[in-house]
Amino acid sequence: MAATTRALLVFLSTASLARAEFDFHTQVKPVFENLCIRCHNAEKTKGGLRLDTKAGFLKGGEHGPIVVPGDVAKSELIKRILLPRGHDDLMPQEGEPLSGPHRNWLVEWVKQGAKWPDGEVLQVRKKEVPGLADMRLIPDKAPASLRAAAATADTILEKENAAVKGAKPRTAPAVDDFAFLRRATVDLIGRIPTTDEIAAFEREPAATRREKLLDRLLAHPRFSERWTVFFADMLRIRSRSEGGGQLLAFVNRSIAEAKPYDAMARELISTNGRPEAAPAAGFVLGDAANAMALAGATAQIFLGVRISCAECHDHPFDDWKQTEFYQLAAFFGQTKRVETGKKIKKIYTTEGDETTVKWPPEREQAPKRDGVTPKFPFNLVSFKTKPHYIARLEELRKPKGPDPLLAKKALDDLVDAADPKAAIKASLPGADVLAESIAAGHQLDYSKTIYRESDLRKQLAGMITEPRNPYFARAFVNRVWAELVGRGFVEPLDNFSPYNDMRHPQTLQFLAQEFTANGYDLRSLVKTIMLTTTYQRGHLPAGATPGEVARAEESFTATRVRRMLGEVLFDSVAAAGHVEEFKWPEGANRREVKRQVRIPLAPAATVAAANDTEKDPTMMATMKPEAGVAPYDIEKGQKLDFDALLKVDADKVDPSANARVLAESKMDVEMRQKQEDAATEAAKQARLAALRSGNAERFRLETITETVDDNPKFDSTLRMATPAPPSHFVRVFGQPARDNLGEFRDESPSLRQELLMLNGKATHEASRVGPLEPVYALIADPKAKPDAAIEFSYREILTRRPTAEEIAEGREVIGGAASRTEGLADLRWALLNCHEFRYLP
Amino acid sequence: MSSCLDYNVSRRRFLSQCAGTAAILGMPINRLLSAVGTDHAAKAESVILFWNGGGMSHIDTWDPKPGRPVAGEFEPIKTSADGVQISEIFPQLAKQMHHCSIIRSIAGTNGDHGRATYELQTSHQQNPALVHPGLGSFVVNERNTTGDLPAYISIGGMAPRAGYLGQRCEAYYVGLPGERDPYLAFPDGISKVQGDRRLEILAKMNSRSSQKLASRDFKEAEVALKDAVNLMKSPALASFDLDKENPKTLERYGLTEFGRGALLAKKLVETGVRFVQVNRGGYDNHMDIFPAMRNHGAVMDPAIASLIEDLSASGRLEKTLVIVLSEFGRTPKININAGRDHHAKVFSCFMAGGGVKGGQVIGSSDADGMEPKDRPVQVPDLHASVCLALGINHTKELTTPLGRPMKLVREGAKPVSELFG
Repeated sequence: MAATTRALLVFLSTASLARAEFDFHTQVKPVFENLCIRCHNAEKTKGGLRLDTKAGFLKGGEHGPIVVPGDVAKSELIKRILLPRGHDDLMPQEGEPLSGPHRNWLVEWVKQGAKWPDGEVLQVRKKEVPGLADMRLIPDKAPASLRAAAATADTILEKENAAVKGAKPRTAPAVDDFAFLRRATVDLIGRIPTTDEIAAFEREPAATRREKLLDRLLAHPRFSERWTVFFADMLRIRSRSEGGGQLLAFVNRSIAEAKPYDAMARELISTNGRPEAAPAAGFVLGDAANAMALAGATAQIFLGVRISCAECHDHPFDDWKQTEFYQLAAFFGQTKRVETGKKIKKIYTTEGDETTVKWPPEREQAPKRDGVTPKFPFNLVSFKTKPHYIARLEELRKPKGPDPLLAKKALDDLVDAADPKAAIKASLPGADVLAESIAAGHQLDYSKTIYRESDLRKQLAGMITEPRNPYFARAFVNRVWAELVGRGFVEPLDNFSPYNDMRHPQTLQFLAQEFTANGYDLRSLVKTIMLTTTYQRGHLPAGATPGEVARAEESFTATRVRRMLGEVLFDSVAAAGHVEEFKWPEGANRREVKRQVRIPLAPAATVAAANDTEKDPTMMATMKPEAGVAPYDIEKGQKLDFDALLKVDADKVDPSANARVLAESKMDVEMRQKQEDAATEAAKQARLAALRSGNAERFRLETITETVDDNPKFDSTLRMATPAPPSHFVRVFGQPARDNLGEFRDESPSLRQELLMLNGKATHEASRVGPLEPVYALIADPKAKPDAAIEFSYREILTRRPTAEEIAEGREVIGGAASRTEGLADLRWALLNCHEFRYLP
Repeated sequence: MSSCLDYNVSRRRFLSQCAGTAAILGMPINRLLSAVGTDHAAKAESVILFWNGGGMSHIDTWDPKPGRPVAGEFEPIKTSADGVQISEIFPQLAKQMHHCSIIRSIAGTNGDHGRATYELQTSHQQNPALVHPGLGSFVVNERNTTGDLPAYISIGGMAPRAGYLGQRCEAYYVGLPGERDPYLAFPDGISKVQGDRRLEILAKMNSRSSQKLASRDFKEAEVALKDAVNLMKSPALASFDLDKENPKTLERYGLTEFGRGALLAKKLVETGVRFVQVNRGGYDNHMDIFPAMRNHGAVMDPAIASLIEDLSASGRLEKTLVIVLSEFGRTPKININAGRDHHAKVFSCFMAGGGVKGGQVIGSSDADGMEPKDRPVQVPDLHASVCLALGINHTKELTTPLGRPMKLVREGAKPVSELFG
């Protein structure tokens, strides 16, 4: 490796270096200040090295001096910056490798003797566009409407772009009406528009049709479904985890009810209880009520700050101190996760008296550790006169008559205080276990001592959602902007830091203020963003260099070519091909299929007994693949019933309903008892004999033929148990596993994605022309010209009219097939698989 | 270049990126890859991991305690390795012991299924903030596939997650060995001719899009599409098929799902798959453990013994590391239900091939199989050993999406170097 590095150095030194006199101030200093001394300074001396002073530089790191003046090949500094991308020892370790010119400057500097002027001390540089901070681009007056706010955002963004030196970015024109319709429909309701929706859009006057469309889509029931996915990604909701299903249903209902985002956040951060009754508690249970995990998650999710690195050490690339992390974690320090019940498990969160967050950190093994006092590490902004956006928020929130949410809360409080004895009496204990579970249920639901609220987390939630906390609205706006525009003002989305690039701080600031002023209303924010010129811009045409594309996208003068979310892609295939409903009459697709079955070699009775895994649940769990991996089933998902998940919440109004829940549990216990009794001694002996025989798992394969009526129908993936199994369509198309913070959707194309689309059941069935779908009439009549069917298919699948070339191609496809309907199926299959379908216009 | 390749990623894309880096270094790709390794002459190219879920009894399998009250129902038997005895439930495996090593002194730390499984499969302790990649994922992160097939395949159940390594290192699943993956062929009712015709129309449409817009994703999607079609037509797919196997071979492996899984694993590694995990459960025998273990023996013995015999006969065993592992052992004490309970303090594992010296036992447990006696082996040492066999630097530091540095194998792990003689 050393030889090749040398070869590279020779190449660099002979081919591409200017011979000019070297200037430490303009060439070395900025590189060190921007990229090196964040980790090599007085406080952080990674590798024992300081690069902020001459003395530190001359002393070098753990392995001695890092530079041999005049000898590039022997200088560790140069070796390290020239290593290939991804190499363990490459410097800098965080962020991009040095650019070509920067490398050359340092190489040349070392060559010329690596002179460091005496007394020159370097300081960390924070990232910002020079001069931008002094410009006040946000108007003092409130915009008159969301449309006016969008126009203001456009103006600020343009000015911020103009402040950047260098060549202007290329600009893409606005998309046409059809493209806007497709884009907006996909973004807001999670599938492509239907032909009816296209027609309704066309009927609107051109001047107002875009805004009218947005209003219709924001009121559509699918809006909540689509944006539940957004929140589920953000909050890392796993519907199979403790309280995860309830949390998902809670988020879905909150969006449907237009609950303000700050109110939702306060509930998520502060709720304690049993998720069946207090669904927002699922958020805390998602991290097993672990204070450290919750501190990291809360800061990163709600404030866009990656403070969690400071859990184990002062943040290596930011200003956060470990003590600040501990102080934040202390707000969660008294929260505990409790599990009760032996057979019927109940899990809830509550507050203990002692904090689990102690200082010094456990790993230091100090003789004594003290509880940490909670302290909010983020600064709130202060001002002399109240800014209009806060005044507007306060005006909006002035009590005006009875609030339905408050009314409901009052009712809940009433029920909490009710005497539950009647409910308990209604169910007679049949077993000790049942008595125990009833007692637990009794206490869980009604006893304040077991079900304590968290004052600390309420305080924290208050500070996080305080309008003067600049982080809160900004972090959320950045995420929503990225969801719609394809790129955040700050990337990664949850990494606001002075050391991270932000080219449009005031555009973001303005949108965040408007979001606050509008009562943290998701729909208003979404609408404002979608009315901006930025959202409505197209992409750069072919021929643009990758550099031009990157520059235009980071300047928001062109949008990124975005792929539909996996869920949305699947639902769009189903919508385009009308497989959300049956499109064949019953029995129209009867066909014979061959299937291999396994015939046990042991006698049938003993096998049945051996397979009775009731008593050995581990066997089931570890032998069975995760649900949904069987062939072709991987396009199906387990549908969740959000209403049922929140049912118990509603049941609280009726104390007898609690008795019903307990009575159901009683039935469970009795049934189990019966099953155990039924497993008689004889059956057990048969099972053991089968196991001893060595034949219990042996089988032979036999191929059978059966008749099926192949007429599938697919549920929306937006309501599926989530995340889906790893091999499921939506996961392969980027749905995150939601285990980790900072885990975003992976949009990169892959081979497996292609296979699922090329050969998938959904694509296949969506392509086939069924008699119960609209296009059938246009193609079934042998005398009709195929043009109408081609035009209809383009409209239905790609939301546009075909070109003359495409119509000609379509005729050829249809004419060249075994039948006209098969030809149309071929065309539709290609349309569903093409780039234009899965990437937004 | 730390990129992991499996079914979800386009092979060509990887190679083109790799070629770019290699060109800068002026070094051929194969040398570049080998330069990353350690001093040990790594022999293994692929791994077959048999995961026995539930906690397999060590005393009734690899670590018999004859004459002790804890011995249970089974007698030890002599094996083809001098002085090495294993349980009578493995008569065929006993004849292969000269190829195999047993570690009898794993010092586990978790007696809970979930946490123990996590540690045994990832080398790390479970922690709410981060999901660590399982053994298969980190192996394929470091070692690419060598053929058309996915690099990491899990048979008959869940393999651990790829964690922060991302979707590209997740396992490709085979539910039932021998059952065809419908996504690897045109759907029923679509002939090859019609399918190819569709692909032609699609190519025209896509090229029109690419001529209009500057999108790198379009190009990458087209490469992925081409690779997908190539895979659909690849002769390597025959490796997934067991229908054409000689019935005698299938019989030798045991006519069970597990046996078919073992046979499939063999065929897959022969085709270049890097890591195959074969999953089976049913070892959580809190009651009636002896009939259950008798059955486990009847299932495992022909399958694993035939696999080792066949790999050895074809000369492939040197390059294939075979591991049989479980999350913990079971209590020496036999409980009131004629079962044994969870026991993590000491248990055993079985390895063969991939440079592992045959016929040896490493470490020992005490007289009753309660605790390690000689040469305790920590759990992460197993993972470090797998790395050593493959020439992967187990101390390598990776970066999570949060920018957090993370050791491939838990800090402090040391390979069990005696394994490799």
